[in-house]
Amino acid sequence: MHIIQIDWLQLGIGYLALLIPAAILLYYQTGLVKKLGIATIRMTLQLLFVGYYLEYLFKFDNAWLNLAWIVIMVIVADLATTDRSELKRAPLFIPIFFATFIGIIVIDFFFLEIVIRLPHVLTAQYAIPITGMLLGNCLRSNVIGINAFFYSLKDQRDLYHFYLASGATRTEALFPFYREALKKAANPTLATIATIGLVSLPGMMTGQILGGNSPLTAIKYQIMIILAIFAGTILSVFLAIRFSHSRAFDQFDRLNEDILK
Amino acid sequence: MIRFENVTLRFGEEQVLDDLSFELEPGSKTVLEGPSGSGKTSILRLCMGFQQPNQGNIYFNDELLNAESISNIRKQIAWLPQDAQVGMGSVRDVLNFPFTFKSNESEAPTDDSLKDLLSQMALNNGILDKSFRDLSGGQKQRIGIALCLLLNRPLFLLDEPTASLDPASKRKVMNLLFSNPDRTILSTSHDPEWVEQTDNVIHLA
Repeated sequence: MHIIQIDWLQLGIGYLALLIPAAILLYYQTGLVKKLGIATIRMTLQLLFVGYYLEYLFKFDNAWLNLAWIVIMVIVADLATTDRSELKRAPLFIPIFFATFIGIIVIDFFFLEIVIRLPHVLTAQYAIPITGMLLGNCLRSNVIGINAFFYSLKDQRDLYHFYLASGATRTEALFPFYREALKKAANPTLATIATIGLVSLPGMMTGQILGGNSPLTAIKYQIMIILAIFAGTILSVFLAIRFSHSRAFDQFDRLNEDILK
Repeated sequence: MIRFENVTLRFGEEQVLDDLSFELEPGSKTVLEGPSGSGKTSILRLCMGFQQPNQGNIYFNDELLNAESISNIRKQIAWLPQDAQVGMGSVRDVLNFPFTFKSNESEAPTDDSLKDLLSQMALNNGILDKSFRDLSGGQKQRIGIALCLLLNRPLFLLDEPTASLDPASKRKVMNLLFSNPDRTILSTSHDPEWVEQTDNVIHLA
């Protein structure tokens, strides 16, 4: 299939579409027009940077270089997770980094090396975009799950203490809090899975079709990425909470509320 | 059973307890009295290791309360928090959940024993399938006390146990709690009837 290339002028014309939301936001005095401008500039610069960087990454296609890029993506996701989940960065940066990294690498390895069977480890063309999609979703779920866990523990401190006072180990007393956090983290992805194809055509599938692939190949990749996203997000949310224990609880099993903002 | 030795507790600049010492004999029924903010609930929380004294020591059966001993000490305690938030889900879930803990597995109540206990507390069996969150304050308090009785620990720490109870259910609950001479009770209360039933009163300024 022939792919229609977009030149820079055509892309520039695409920006004109923003005039419509900008006019509506301006008319209703939402104060968001400046934010829209900044967000659009940031998005453009970030993607330009990534686009050029990926050109080089794809050209060299070295597993170590690709792994280094994945580590950088995980660090950026980690910074965003601690910020958005209203937790202090210093005590939780390392546990959340390892949780996200392990969640990503385990699922990447399973799908890229066992399911797709790449010609060599971490082939850039597959590993980078798939890891990016996984990370974006892990970030969203981690924020929801970690925030739900620690803030419900703070709000229901007496209930948690009641379980401890009733003879529970820390793991036993935290069980209902894990359950609620995992439910909250899983629900948005589950809702997306349930309506996919009916309400929306997902980005990866659309991208592959636009890239000239047959719709059937596109849905196979799409199904695979959905499975990977769900497995990766639940694993990373669970690990992020579990790895935070040593920083989040003291010797008397009390929550260290200093980790909350 | 429990001994406070020169315990001082401060929250920032605020002095809550100043050089407090007392000892509870096994089987004694004690109430802590004092105005709000005098440290009554803090004393209960100190007994469970949820607060740490700034100075002084707490002993449970002559064993120093510290990070090593706390999990064993907690296994001797049944606690009723002031707001009686003792679980989530249905009342049946609330009453059964603590018996999923390894240390309590062998004492899990049967459905019949649950129903029997509820009827002694003027609660009908239908309450088991209701959502705990939807219960009234008095019902929650009685479920919390029922849980303490089911756990059947040597030391009961009860924070305002009759605050939300009507006179009839209060009498039933008090009979159940005070009927066991071996049970040690440390409580907080503003209720004269409760205070009258106890044999020790500790006044806090």
